[in-house]
Amino acid sequence: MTYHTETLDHLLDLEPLHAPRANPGYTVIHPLHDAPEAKCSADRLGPMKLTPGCRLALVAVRFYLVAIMVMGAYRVVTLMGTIKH
Amino acid sequence: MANPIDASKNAPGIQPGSGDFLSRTRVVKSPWMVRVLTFLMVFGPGLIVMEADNDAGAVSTYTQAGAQYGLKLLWLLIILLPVTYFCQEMVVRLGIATGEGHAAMIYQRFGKWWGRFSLFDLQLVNFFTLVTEFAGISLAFAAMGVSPWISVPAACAGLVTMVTTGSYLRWERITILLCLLDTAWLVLGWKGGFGAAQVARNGLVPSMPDGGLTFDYIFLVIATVGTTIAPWQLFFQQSCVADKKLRFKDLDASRWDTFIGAVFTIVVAGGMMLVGAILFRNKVAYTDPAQLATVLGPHYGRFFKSAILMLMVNASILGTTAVSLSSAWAWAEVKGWDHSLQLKFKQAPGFYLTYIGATMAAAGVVLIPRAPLQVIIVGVQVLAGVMLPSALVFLQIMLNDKELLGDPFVNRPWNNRVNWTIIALMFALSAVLAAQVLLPGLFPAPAA
Repeated sequence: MTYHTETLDHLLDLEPLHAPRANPGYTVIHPLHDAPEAKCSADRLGPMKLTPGCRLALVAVRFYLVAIMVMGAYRVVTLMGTIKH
Repeated sequence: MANPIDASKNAPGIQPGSGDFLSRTRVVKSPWMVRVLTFLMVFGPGLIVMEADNDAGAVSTYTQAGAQYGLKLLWLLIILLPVTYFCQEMVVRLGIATGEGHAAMIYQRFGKWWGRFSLFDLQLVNFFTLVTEFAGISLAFAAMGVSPWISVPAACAGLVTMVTTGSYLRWERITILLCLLDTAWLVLGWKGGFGAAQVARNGLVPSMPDGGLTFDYIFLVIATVGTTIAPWQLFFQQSCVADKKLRFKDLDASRWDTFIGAVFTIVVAGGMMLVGAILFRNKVAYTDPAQLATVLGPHYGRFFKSAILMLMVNASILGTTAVSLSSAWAWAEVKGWDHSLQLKFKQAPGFYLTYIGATMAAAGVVLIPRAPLQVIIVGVQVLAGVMLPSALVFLQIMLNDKELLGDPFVNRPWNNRVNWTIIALMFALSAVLAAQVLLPGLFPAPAA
């Protein structure tokens, strides 16, 4: 690809792809119009291998969710008047 | 990297050479024009996900913060800017690397149990959030004398039309325009007459309110944090990035898009706080944004009142389209349905029906006489508090999945240190907020 000296005319010179050009340039394609690229896929990887830190984080999430559910159940029970203060 | 995903399934695409100025394939002469054009083509998901978070709930929270504490919480917004950017930047990286949505990734990498938990919680909290958005629309239009039986169905129809056009770009551009309309909050905040030096000082220097550290203050801080970072944002932006087919080389431009969105959102949120602070300065009690508009209207003119009310509507519209789409994308991804805004209704009926169903159901709830809207608003806070920490943990773990992402996309060590700190903080704040709602007896009663 040829790199041109950046004059004001050249900077504003935007041409559609199909216009014949004397000099090559850089093609800019919108993502929606571009050819699909190979992405990272988990299809053949199986279950994720978790480090001890990750396992600990997931255990912490479970404890957190249990605590929230217990608080919620307590709130429902007190609202029903089953537990009076 | 494994075999390429069949991208043609969800986006038949447009032939190169067609399209408008920003979507047509071009040849340019200089590398910097490549960067500029690429950025303009990529720009959108970051701004939308950030600004759509300035929804009806955010308008209520930020104006309340200003009305109760003046400018004393502006510094919190500055601190939240990097927090929200770091969270969303991870989402962008994951979306570009995998080309898949967040819900689908959780199912694939964490299994069905966590996948179902995340999906179910997302759908529930999103539905309640949609109800609050339509409640905001109803409230704003009622203050303008329009019946909810007109405003809510009309808004619902507009939202459905906006999405079901079969063009991602058309939806994106309409939504970007709505986002940019929120700059009016800055005009309204400026009309409040606060000096630039005063705003800068309160934004950069943390300060306590005159009453000191109270539980009311702490809970408003937590509510502000919870408003600024919402679980649906993680799902929305990843799906949006995947639907827009962003490429590996778009990562830098997408990061800039996200950063600009974060700055824009924080600045607009500051504008909302400044508007609320007008009440604080005049020692007028705050009830809700519509009351704020009604009280300030006589002093600042009819335009001021109408502007606040229309901006409330705009915030609700933005929130509704983004939240509904995050639900529709997530559900369709997991079900394996075609799910792209580039597809016509007939090509992706499940995806569009999920969006339409969620929108119409939420609108319907608001129209029910004596609907328990306050319970729903509180429910949103609790469910979001349940979901956000776990969603962040999944995101953080996936961004350390070197087997899937490879070295280019995994977190760096400094990323991990920052992110785990943010996650720990979110756990603590969410737990306190949930406790305050579910166990109110543990905390002192709010000041009268």
